Amino acid sequence: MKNETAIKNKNGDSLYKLLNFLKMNKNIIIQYSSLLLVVVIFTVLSDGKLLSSINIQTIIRQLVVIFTISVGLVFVFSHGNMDISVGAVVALSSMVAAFSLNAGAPVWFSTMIAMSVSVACYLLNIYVANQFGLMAVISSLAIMFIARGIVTYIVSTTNMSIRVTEIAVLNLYNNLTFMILSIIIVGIIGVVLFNYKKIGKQNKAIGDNMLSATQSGVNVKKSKVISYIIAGLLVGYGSMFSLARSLTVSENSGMGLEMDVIVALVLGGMALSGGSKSKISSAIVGSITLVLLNNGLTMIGVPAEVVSLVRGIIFLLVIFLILRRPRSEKVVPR
Amino acid sequence: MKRRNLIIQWLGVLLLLVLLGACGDNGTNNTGNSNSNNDSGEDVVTIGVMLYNYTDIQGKEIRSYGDYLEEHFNVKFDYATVGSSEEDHITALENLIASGVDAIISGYDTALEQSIALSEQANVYYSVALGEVVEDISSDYLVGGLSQFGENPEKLGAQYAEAAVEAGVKNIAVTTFPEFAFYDAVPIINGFRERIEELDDEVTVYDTVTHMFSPNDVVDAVTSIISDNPEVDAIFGLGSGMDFVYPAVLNSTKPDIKVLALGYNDSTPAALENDSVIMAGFNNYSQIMASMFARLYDRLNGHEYPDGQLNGYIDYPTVQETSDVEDIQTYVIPDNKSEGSVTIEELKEVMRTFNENATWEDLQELTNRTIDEIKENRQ
Amino acid sequence: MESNVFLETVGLTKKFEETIAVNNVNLQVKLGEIRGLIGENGSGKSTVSSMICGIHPVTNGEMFINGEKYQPKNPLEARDNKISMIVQETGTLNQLPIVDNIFLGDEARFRKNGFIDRSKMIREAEKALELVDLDGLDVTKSISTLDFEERKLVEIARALYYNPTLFIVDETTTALSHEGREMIHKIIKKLKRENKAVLFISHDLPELISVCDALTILRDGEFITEFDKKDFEEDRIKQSMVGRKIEGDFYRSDYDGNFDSQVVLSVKNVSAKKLKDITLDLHKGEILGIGGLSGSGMHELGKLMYGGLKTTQGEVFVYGEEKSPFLKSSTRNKSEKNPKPIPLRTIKIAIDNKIGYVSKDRDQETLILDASVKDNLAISALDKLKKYGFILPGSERRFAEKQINELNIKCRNMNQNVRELSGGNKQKISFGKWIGNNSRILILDSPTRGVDVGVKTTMYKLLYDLKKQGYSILIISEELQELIGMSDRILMMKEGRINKEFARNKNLNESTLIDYMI
Repeated sequence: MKNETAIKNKNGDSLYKLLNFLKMNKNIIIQYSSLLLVVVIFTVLSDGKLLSSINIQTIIRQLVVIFTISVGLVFVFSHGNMDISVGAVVALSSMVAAFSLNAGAPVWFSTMIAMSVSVACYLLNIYVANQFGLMAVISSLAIMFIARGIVTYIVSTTNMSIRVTEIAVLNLYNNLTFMILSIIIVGIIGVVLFNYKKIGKQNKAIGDNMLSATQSGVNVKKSKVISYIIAGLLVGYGSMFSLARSLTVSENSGMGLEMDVIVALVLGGMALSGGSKSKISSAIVGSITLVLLNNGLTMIGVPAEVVSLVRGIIFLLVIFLILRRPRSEKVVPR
Repeated sequence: MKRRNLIIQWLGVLLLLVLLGACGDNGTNNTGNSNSNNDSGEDVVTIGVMLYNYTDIQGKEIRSYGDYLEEHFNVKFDYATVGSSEEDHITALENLIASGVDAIISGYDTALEQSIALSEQANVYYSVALGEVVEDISSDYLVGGLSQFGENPEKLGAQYAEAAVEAGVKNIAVTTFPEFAFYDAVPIINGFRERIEELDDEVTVYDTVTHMFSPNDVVDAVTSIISDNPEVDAIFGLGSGMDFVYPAVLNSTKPDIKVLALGYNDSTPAALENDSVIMAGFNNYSQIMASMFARLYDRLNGHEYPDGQLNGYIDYPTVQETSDVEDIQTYVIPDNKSEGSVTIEELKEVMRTFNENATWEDLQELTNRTIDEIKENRQ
Repeated sequence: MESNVFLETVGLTKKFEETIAVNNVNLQVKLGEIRGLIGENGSGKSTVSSMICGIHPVTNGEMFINGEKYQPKNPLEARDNKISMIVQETGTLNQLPIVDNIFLGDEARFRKNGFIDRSKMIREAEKALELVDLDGLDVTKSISTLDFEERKLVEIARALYYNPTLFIVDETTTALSHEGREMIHKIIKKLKRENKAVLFISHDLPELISVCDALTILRDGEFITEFDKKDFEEDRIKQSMVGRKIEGDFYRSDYDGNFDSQVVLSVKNVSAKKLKDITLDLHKGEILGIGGLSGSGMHELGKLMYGGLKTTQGEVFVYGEEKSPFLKSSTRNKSEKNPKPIPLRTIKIAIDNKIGYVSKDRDQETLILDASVKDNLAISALDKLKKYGFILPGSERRFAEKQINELNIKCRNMNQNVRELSGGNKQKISFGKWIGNNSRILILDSPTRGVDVGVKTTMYKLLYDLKKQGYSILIISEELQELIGMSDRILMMKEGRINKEFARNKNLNESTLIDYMI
């Protein structure tokens, strides 16, 4: 109390305002702290190499897939649903896109096809979950097996990996300017849909309390279906970037992506239980943090055997900073 | 509240320690290198290595041979763990390139075309250590691949065939991974079948059974072999014979089936001892690293073999008796690399950087020596 | 200090960050006494009891038991000191059997040779349940097979099993029906006879007056005054609770009971779940009261009229505005006079036709506790807030601000979590989200449950104002006094049927109504 009054006098006014500002925006600052932490640590330890123009290009190339997919999946995760099929869906969509490109279809058409395949996977996912009253994570498990199974089967029927024969057709998706534009546009679409349209707000309500949401007139099924369509569209779009990066599809394509998305969202401060703590910015901040983390660890030459340990510690730190228990002492009882 | 802050602080300290420790390690390595390499005037070259892990025998051996090379050449290896997906492979490659490596030894030919394109952009040499480069790609920065089963894989198949006939088995089943994942299996199996036919026409070799990559897939394959052909008395297991096929046989209804294994692990000596395994084989990691390194290092220093080819080859040592196991310990996975398959002196002899007259054939000869040849050479 | 004082607090203070919840409270609870603790929502009653039970640590001040210093670190220490509490929220774990709920955290008591003696545990659980007249229950069954009230009784049994010297009842009775309350009253009177101490926390003044021997009044976290039984006088107590003079009667004062003849919502021969052949009309500008026992089906009726319950027979109609532009003008004119009935089958239809619903289980079904005040107010009005297809933060903020000001909702700011608000303010938000959405028909299930006198007054005034503005309001309540005070008509329900209809009448009293509900 003494401090406050001392600070409150005239010359300390701006400092007081600053402190107050920090206090008011504590949560936002903490949300960005993981990103800040990663940037600062690695810039210092890599002698600034982290922010060299060539490395920033590298980072953008690595960011575009995980970014696009994470933004899509926030819509699924916000109503407390978990999705672990994304890696397999990316593999399947990329494979179908590769076939369509090899058959001579234009790139825009192949993109549409990739997106439709991915949307179909996600619609099937939510349909199964709704129809049988399953947790969405269970049905996504089934989708994962099916999509991965199809890819593995088709890959095994040829003795070569599936390749895009005409590399030039995917030049668009390897173009750095297009990547940056795409990141910005996907980001804007995500922010608008999540913050300024019904779907985002209803998703949060569903994630917090489905019963209340229903009684407030939220059509839970419809919201979920729309969210899964959004996720499917962006996952399909992301799989085009993924395909363009490797130009090949194998039974291992997209493997581990589901975990990357979860890690990215948590690093971005998203509560996986969904609800009002869901933010679209989690996908944006989190995917950037994740890419920087992986890139930075290589840049400073952390030995392979401790990479996982370091990543684990950073992850824990972020969790402690961001995901505080919702019911702390702050709650004033009646 | 207090406890949380404490935990955060501790984690922070721990992180700093690990990072500092890690960087400190590298620092001492660097200075150590430059000290021991006063004799040569070249710059230190950095070679990035990409493998799924460094904890199995393959990763450990490749690393320790890398350490051995670092002691004697102006080279530093950056080891990166990669995921199995294309995306992960590309990402790891990009990160290595961004960190400033001069060349890459990738374990696998994952997303080869794109990997080479990236390497080319960054003027980084790219090589595949654990397989041949079969795709039709021409690039100045593609150094090449490596066949793991000698100059002619059919010969290896024939070796297994001889061992089978010697052991007196009559009905042999063959299991392997699908062709798209294991191209070399085809010539090995062909060599095996042909040699069996030549040696003994009473021996039956059944159609090849392919299976996927999990132990359970192999168990299923073995079960169906036994139920389809109850008279089977041996299995030629190419899809990790020791790690997958041997345990699957032991747990099957016919545990007395003998195994011809492509592969080696800790249980091999005992299995050879009690005759449940007729033959096992082993990748020669020293030869792998020596071959790849020699080619990359020469390239980086502006030398190239006039007769150079895309894919080199190395020997695949096999073991039939317990006495062979000792040789493996001495020559293939030695604690002291200077007594192993390829020593620094031998290697320098066939590198253009150190010997203007060295040829591609010299290198292949050196890295394709069998254990017997090595023994003979060392006498 | 008198010798029979069991618990005493001296200068008890509790701060939650900057908020002072309890400030310098001195309280004595004597053996053989039922001490009432009363105050408005947010006055600090529950914080005091939480500190006594070791749930929250004390910021300042001291507590004594039998004159000895008492500093509980957790509820178990409180129990060891013979203090037990039952709380307003359900304190049972749904997945567990009854017996495990009773001995949760104390299973070690039945350890025998390293194993839990299950049969002894079950016997003891049955013994505990006998204390609350719940004998004959299969205690191995999941507690979720019991209804809300029975679960509450299990909690009481758990508290009594440890033979407490101080028994704290925190706001429990507001959640219970008439019978449940009687049960608790019986229990605490028995404890009193056994020379035990009881601290009875409530904001239901008449209840406290009838049960307690002494009352302590808190307001804004501070000790205000004490009353002995002989000084009990409702108006004076209320005045000290609220800090201002309150009219003796806070219900509406008129007895006209008139409303528009236009029907807005009509239930026709509907059977569904507990409901049997219900027929009723709700008119424009009418406050229709529904009374009965908790199990009479009146809560289901509320859900039904909101489109939240499937009918097995009959249909509910809402007389909304005609929407189709394709109708011929002649029919249109006609329909304006007498709007076309629309079958009410889904919640969406209900909301589109301006029906709002506040559930009895407000925290679980109507509000989103972890979301902000703003989000809660806006969630059902998202369509209305759209501007060029987008929901802009500004319009959301203005919308929330309007409701907060009009309903005088007390919150730090509109981004505060609803969970942190008091019961009365939560209730205002659940009203506000519908009023803001231009709902003309409000279905309010137990609207004043868990709400104190001060808020009740404003809420009744609000409801009356709404009625005069032409809103149609359905109040479902167990508090008969409230129905009598507010309704234009009262329907009494019993066993799923409407048993009797009363028109607004000065001479109506509770006992008349009770005859038709039991």
